Amino acid sequence: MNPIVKNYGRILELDKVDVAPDPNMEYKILIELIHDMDAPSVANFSATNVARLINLHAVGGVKPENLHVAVVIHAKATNSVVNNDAYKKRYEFDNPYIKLYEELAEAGVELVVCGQSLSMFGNKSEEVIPQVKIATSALTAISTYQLKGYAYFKWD
Amino acid sequence: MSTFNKLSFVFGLLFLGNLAFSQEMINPIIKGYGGIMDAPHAVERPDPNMEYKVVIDIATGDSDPKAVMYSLENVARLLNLHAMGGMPADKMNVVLAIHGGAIWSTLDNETYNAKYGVDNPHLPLFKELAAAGVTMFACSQSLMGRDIDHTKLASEVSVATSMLTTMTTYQLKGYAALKF
Repeated sequence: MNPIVKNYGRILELDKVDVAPDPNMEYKILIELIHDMDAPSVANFSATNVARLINLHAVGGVKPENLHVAVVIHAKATNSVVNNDAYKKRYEFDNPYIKLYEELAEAGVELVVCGQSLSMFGNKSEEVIPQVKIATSALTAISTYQLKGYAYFKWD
Repeated sequence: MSTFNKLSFVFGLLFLGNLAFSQEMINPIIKGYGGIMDAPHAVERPDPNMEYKVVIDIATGDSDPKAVMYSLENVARLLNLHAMGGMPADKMNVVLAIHGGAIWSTLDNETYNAKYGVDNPHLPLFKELAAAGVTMFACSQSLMGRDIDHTKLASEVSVATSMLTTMTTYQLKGYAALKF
């Protein structure tokens, strides 16, 4: 089932659960994405796992308005944030991440890409899709969100 | 790896290198290490009204004893990046828990030289980090596990019970945690 993000991150509904998220809490979660782009025609599992995380919290009883997710994209995962033309030029495939990032943004996820990685990999800031904001760097975004009380995951 | 793949890899690296160097590198805080690119167009920036507390698990060593370990150079990058993003230097509180393969960086020059036959390249970096207010701890378990004399460490480094206890303690004190 896909309670929030419809086209990604399908999860199972269980009959019996002993440990579930606390529906009275505000959930703030930061995810660092550094996955490789070796299979550029499909979105990497780590990226789609953001959708799973959201759907899992929803099925676990967290209200969508209490779920705040931020994603910091950098290192090898950086090139996933560019528009279809730029992506096609580099990988000769349509960008499979655009639809995912659009759905995540629609679900309220804050998507940011490391400005340092973006330049290092030869991308222009105007090529970044509008759902993704440019950060000073991954390191500064990761410190900032953690200090604002976000729980932190790193997925490679 | 085919010859073609090897070549494209090498050219890819050269290309990346060129791109990196075509943009000027800046060092707002740590002058000798961790150059970064200015990013005035960034919209997601550090919050200069917050106090920044960061504890870093420094685990990764380097096989070349003449080179500064990237895990430690990255601390200089972290400080320079926060400054470039608008953080005042006096609001940055950074603590390092150095252990595992990275522990060899903490030797004093004499001990490092006796082991590797070269001067410890990390000492000037430690000096600059300490001047910028960074607190550096070496894991006592990593030291003893490698028969390193705890009285023969770089003067900026003090000994912690362990990396694990430093990481738990500082996180529970409100520090953001990173692992390099």
